[in-house]
Amino acid sequence: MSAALGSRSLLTRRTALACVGAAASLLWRGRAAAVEPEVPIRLQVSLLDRVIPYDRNFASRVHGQLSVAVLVDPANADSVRIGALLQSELSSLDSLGSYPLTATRVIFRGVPRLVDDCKRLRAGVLYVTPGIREPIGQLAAALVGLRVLTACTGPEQVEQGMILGSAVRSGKPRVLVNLTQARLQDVDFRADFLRMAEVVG
Amino acid sequence: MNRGSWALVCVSLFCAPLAHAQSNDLEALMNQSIVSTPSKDAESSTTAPATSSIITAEELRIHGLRSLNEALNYASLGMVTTTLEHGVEIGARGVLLTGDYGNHVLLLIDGVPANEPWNGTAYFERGAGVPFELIDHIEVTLGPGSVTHGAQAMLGTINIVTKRARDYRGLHLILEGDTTAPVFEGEGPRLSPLSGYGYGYRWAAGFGHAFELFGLPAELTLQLERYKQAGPDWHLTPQVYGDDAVTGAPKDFGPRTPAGQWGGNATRSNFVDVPAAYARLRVGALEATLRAGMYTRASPFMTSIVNVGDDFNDPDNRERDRWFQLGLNYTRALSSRVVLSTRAYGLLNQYYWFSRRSAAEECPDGLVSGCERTLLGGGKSGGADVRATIDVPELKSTTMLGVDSRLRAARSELTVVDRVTRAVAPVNNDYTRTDALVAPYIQESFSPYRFLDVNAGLRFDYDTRFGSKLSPRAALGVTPWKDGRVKGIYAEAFRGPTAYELNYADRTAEVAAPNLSAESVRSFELSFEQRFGSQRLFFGVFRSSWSDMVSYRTLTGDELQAKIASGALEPATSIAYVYANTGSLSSYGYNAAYEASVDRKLHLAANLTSSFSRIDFGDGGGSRPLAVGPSFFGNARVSYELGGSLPTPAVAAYYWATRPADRAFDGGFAHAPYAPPDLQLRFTLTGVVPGLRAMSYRVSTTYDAASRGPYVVGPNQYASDATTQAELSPQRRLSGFAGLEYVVQ
Repeated sequence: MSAALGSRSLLTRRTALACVGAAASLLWRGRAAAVEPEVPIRLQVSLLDRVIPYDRNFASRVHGQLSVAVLVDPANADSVRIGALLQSELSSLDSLGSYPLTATRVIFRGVPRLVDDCKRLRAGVLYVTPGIREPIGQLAAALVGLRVLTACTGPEQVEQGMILGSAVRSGKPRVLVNLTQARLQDVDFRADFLRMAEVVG
Repeated sequence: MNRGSWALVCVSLFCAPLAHAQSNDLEALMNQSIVSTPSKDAESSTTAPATSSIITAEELRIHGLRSLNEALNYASLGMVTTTLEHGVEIGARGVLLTGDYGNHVLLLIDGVPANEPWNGTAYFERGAGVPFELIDHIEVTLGPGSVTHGAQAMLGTINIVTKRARDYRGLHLILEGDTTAPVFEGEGPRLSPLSGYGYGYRWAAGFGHAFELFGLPAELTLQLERYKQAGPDWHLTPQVYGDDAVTGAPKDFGPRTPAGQWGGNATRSNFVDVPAAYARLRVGALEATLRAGMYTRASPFMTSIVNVGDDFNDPDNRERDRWFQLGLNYTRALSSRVVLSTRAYGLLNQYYWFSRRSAAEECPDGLVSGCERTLLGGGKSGGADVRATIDVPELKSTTMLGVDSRLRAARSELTVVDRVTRAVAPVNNDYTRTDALVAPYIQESFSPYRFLDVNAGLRFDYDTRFGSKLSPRAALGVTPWKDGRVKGIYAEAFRGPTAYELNYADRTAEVAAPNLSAESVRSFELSFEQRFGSQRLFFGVFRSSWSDMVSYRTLTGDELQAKIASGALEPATSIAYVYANTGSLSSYGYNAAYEASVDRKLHLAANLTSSFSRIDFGDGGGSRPLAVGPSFFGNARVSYELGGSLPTPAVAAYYWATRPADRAFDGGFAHAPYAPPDLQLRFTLTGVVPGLRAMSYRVSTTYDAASRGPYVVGPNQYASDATTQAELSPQRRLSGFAGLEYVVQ
């Protein structure tokens, strides 16, 4: 009887250890875990399409032709995956915010190169995918003074310095705006848009 | 005010948003709902391959909705619940199967199935055990959903999604009290005398916090609460029953009503007690949920499914469920195209029913002094759902491949003792069983053009309870013009027989039915949706047909003799029943919905469903309308945010057309009993306590215009020489509550 109990407790201990090991392994692997956008990519692109007309300076920045740069870090599977979804969605549009559109994938090769890429492409919108290896704050700091609307797929990135993002609040999509960063990048949203959006910075 | 004036008021009310509507394209998008129930991936409800809508946390708060059944009745499209004082029944699109204990609707909580493994039951009232302040939104998906969720999702799927820590920051302390006026059968609300009122209270403590753990973003949300309520008094018209078939003496319904009679003033047999806890922890991409609680309740009256044969007004007669549930969810990108999601869950559930019966005819042979019955039904289940999502953006295609597997153990123990001697009666119908299922599934979403979406899926279930079942779904969505959407959906779903249906036996009247197969439903629907800025219009038509429905069948003479010979029935048995897949049902109708907001302050919404449904139990009686559930019903709500420290007034209402009572077609009454039309109105004020910004309040009152519901109450369930008219269940007419919430950031 006691032997049976002993083997059972050993089994229970092993099971518990296995569970702890599995959880630790999952947590460790969590560093490379999937980042699912709260708002579906198609809806994010549609939201961007309808937000652009509220930017008073947009027309002066893009000069009739809109170039969208989709920033992708090839070392991160999520970044590549979501970048591909974004590009696919953008390429199915004739226009974005009523501007004829070209969408280009930009490989992240460091912050200085990113600024050069944006200038070279005359990017009106820089769409930053999740999983870029540098902190978003550093990207935002480097983009100060560059006349580009930065957009991202999650709410945390807006708090860290991206201008536009989206989140789900009580089952509905919400547009998030970092107004401080917007001013630093010559983006000037109309008041009627700001009444609908959630200002986070 | 005449009808013309009312019409003018209504038209003015609903045209107000049109007059004020800005042509606001952005608002149209921001009013879309994001749902994850129809295809297990976040998507707009407009493009989802099902008719899906949400009830937001804001709607729950502003309209004083405190339980799932209230939320569904006041705010959902197409779903309806009826209540037997704590025993809630649920239906959708005009199909409510009374006595099914909610097992034709799948309840998910943060994606984890909550239907228990013994009888497939889920609770759609406070028994759901999810604190309402924690709810972010409730997704209500109508129609068959087995292709992604397996069994039970026949009428629809409800997914309760809880809040993220960022939306529930700090420590939340909540205190609420409620009261209900005493109920006088067949009468309007009476405020005096000031006695017999029902009282209830709820306290809750919740917490939400985001932090870092092992260098990963983490968050915790949790809430503990307890709701307790007793009363009000129910003044039930006494019913003369007559003599006990065993003793020949007037039938005894206990010491609180005269012999041979049931009814009077029920003062002690209406209560509910629900302590519950829910917690969600996220660390990186790993999410763990925990749900635990207990749901004890007692109903003041006897119907065909509550307190059957029990003593009147006995405070010991009660039902109780206890549960403990764990869920784990992990998502990982395997490559730039493949995402792997794993969900594992486990549930422990125990059901307890105690009933005291003084009448010998309600007890096994020999217990002439009456008996006490204790039924324990329990189950354990564990499962895992592993799926890979493969994106091919070049082809605008997403493929989902998954395998769902579950192990379920169920047991049932019925103990009957002599009420006086405590001797145990030999009822011998305990059973245990263990079942496993494995179900591979595939789903393909394809959007070749921005205006066209195709979704097709197939799931194959192999379940040791009943064999195999295929569940296909095909959906086509077209955007013919801006903010418009036309959808066509074909889907099938099933419900496997429960452990109870397969194994329950009673040697005096019922034999087990181990060879039952699954019930099936196939449905086709076509819907149209249009958004105009902050307004949304929806209209859909549907048709569904059900087959192999589990119903009672009477044993033939030969079958009866064979069962007696085998010992399954007692030798004196003259009639006995067995569950069989003999029923069928057909239903068709339409749904409509409208919602709007003006200046983000005035919010309006209305839902309407009309259907025509007929059921055939396969008992030779032919097809007939469905009882209990309304075939025409709807709800409407309006609120206006005054801003500042002023309160937000809100009015919500639901309406059910007249509907047949549960004994309308088999009670033998000369005039089939029908419940009258029911209009329920709720007025709620919410706001911040002046001078105390961290404290908010809610005050609400509810009035029910109907005095009776769709259940025949009392022992006289069938017509007799002495009983020519059915007594329908009385309803609460007037109630209210007030609550405070204090948040420490």
